[in-house]
Amino acid sequence: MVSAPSFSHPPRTVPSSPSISNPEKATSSIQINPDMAFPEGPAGGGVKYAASKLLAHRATLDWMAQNKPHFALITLHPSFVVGHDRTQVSAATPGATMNSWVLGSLASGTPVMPGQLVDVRDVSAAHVASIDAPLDPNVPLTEVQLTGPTMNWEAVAKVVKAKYPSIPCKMTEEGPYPAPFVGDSTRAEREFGIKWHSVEETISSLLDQQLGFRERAGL
Amino acid sequence: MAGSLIFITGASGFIGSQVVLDTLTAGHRVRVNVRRREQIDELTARFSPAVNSPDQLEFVVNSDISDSKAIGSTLGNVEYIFHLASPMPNSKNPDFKTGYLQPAVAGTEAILAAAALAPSVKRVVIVSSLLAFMPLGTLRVPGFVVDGKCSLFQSSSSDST
Repeated sequence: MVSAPSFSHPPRTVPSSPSISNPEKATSSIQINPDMAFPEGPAGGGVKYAASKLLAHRATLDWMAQNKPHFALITLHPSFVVGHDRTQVSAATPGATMNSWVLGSLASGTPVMPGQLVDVRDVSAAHVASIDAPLDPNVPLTEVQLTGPTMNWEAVAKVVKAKYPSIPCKMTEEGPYPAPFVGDSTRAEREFGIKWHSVEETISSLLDQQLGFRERAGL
Repeated sequence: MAGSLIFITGASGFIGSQVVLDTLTAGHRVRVNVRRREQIDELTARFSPAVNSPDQLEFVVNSDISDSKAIGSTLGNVEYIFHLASPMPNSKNPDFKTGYLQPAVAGTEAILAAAALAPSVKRVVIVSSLLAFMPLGTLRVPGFVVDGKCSLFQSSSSDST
């Protein structure tokens, strides 16, 4: 079932300058109307965020094509980033949005988002690798998808049930849950040398931190 | 000392904090851009475990990430830029254009413009999202393949595959 957002009028195509050479070639040709009506509330926030990411990347492509700067540009495109949150100091402080969505999905039994998660350590590693990664000198912009191994909620639930019985989890390893979208991790692996953390490593990293907070709080 | 000088925005965030720590651990020098001076003490405490020499971590304050001229004045000797600062799905301003789109675009274009005037900059890294390759409404399509070949893409442009 496709849960597409509803619009007050059909999207129309916004002209964009021709995309510069890049393998995905996708962003400049996606139909989107910046003047469309967005849903209100939290659902609207997600759609607005998605639309802003699309249009902002298109603006980046356009800027590069128009300005032809001396530097090389690398754009990183992660899926849902989760894991140990260096900004969170206790269970009482707000943590990373996607981490809270994972915990909420587990507790409710209903996925808040597709199960295509990527470990924050892998996203970070892609930044460090960007310093030395081999780039095609003829291509001014290199897009890197960061999607990791294909995670899914069944695999996440299996880890939680096996290792974290104290974490509220109505999800099951049998599921079934909708299959998440599929990205292309080829460039991240081959040219940026990313070795993805496994589902277990990623989920454990997230939950170990949360359990640590609870223990310190005497919960 | 060894290592490159890297300018990082969004360093106080979830991804950005991990990036600063890993960049320092890899032996590079980091110039952290903050919006408010008051952030510096907390971030220094967060990042100092990964600092091996005193000159490895420094801070600059740019209250307006869309001010290209101000950003440019803080790029001296910078070789790489990691730009992570961007609005999140729960933006305090719910208006699409002023709460989401314009801040994201203005920040990115200011960084790019500033970098274009800084000869020392070799590479710029911008954090986008896989959503940038997905037509709206495809996020929850089971098994949707992010390859630009779905029917919601235009088929007329010369760059279609």
